[in-house]
Amino acid sequence: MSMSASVAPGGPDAAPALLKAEGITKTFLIPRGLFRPALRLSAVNDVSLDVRAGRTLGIVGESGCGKSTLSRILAGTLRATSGRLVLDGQDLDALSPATRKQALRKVQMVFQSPYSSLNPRMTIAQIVREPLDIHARSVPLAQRDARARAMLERVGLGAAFADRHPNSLSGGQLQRVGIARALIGDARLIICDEPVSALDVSIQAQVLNLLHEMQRSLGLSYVFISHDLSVVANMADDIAVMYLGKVMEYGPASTVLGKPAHPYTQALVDSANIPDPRIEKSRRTIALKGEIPTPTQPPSGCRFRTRCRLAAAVCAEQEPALAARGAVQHAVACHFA
Amino acid sequence: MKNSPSGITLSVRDLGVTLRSRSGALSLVRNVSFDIARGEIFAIIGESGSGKTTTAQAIMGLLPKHLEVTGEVLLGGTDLLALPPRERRALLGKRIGFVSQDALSALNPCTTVGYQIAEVMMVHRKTPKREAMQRAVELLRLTGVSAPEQRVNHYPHQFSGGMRQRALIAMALALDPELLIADEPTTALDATVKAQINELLLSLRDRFGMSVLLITHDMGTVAKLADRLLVMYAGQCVEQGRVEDTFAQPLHPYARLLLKSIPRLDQPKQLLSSIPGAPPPPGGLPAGCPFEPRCDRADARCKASAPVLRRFPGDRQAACHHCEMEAQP
Repeated sequence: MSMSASVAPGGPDAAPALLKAEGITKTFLIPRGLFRPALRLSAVNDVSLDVRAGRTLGIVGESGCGKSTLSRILAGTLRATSGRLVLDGQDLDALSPATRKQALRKVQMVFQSPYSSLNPRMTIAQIVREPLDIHARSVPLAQRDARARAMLERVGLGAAFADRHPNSLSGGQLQRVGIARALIGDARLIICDEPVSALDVSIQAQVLNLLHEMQRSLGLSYVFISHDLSVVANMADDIAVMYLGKVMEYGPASTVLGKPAHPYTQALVDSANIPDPRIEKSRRTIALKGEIPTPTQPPSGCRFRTRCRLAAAVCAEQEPALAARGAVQHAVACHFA
Repeated sequence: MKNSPSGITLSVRDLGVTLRSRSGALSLVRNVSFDIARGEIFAIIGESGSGKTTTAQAIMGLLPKHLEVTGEVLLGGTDLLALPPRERRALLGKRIGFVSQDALSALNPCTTVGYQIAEVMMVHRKTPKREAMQRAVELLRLTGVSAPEQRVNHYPHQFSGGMRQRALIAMALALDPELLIADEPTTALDATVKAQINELLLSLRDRFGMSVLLITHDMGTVAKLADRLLVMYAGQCVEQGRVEDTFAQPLHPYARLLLKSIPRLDQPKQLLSSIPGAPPPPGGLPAGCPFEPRCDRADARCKASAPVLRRFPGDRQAACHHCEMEAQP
């Protein structure tokens, strides 16, 4: 049991964990030619998180923080270098490949770009039906097709869309198709990787609301990944803030966004603009220095220290552990928080 | 810095962009009029396809030749659209700086960033190279690039995304323009870097009294930076006014619904109020008001006739049949 698992968010309304990630690490080796050793890129480094049943875990961070790599590991499409995934009490790595595959059907993904994640040569009904065509071939075709059409109806796309092709649908409609495809099997956890960042503002709310409604009616769990803090605020019950492959702060959304303890979370919250000129014009953003270092050469000690306003000598020498702060539900990786 | 006596830097009158082809004329932008005062940050906000970038490109003369641009674009009394291309180019580079969204494709990968900034001064002002390069270092320092003496000799690929955007702003500032047109300058950037660029734009306005035309889809950025805004929908202006007024009490239903549908950092997990449907394509505008099919207040009048842009107290404008009652406090 890694340390952060014991400080997982919970409290009085604690829901049991549907998916537990324990000490997940992923290292990519980048070849640099015949005679030089490969470069080690540690994309995700000792990350432990819980996805609670019927709840949403939001993962935020800037580009290169490892959030997309982590999402693929949680979805089972990428194997971690070390660490384990426990889904519904089952250790996924202890299972045979066939049973692992079977178990992972409960986990589905919704991707960022609906334009490139749907096959342009298939009809909308075929796209939504495809998971059943693969996993439930014993069910008669007519029944599978009816289920696909019912699911389309459920995500707000009427019968008129079923026989059309992706090129005749708008971005928002395509994202609904992507959600329908994820839900057609017996999904209980949906990994949403930037699901609305390719959509226009007026369409974004439609898709977020659809995700809210599906969660409520089906009791789904979500992992919701986004660079946009406001969107995560709208979706998440718990939030993990990542920086260069590490979790910097982890806790209930209201605490992480309302009383951020880590200097990086504070900077992220500070840099998000609230659509209210009275608030925005009366405050000055404390801009963070510099930009994210390259993940192939992370700074020694605390990875955030090169941009941190609190950085001291200890930060270069010793990496702060993700430790419980005050309430058991809230964990912060900082020497000074 | 040059400036017309009236204090207006840029005045756009009845700007229209039309695509003419054998199958007929397709109107992409119509009846767009606005003034930008000296030292003012003016935002044009809209979704993709609303015509906001087309408007900016029409002002800069960057649109392809088969698009017909009508109306007037007055820069200190000179109508840019009436000038011969050569004179117009000479004027634009000097008096209007342009910053695009995609900094990587706006920079030449084969020459150093410093030379690209210096080149602007060498071409327009015949500044000697040595002097221009020195000025490039100053401009990079001004826009917040660290170690500009070394950075000036680096190539675009050695710059990070935020640095490239700073270099692009430095280039746009090289000739002391009166107006900076920034088309989605922070959309491709990470949150903390975006905040840095926003602070840079604010400080440039405060220090040099520069006017900025900001093109964006992000209401948060508008709230932070802009003094006045123009909301575009389906190629036309639906609302214009001071940012504080529009955010506090939007006149047009589209502006009102859009503001309500944005997730906010200071609001917890909840259902959002959303706008049904999607914006119409340029060829598929409804006969009446372009927003009528999605509007919560639409009635027979909205179906029958398109509302014109009308003036309201507080120097505001809106194009909606239902605005009267909402304009009352």
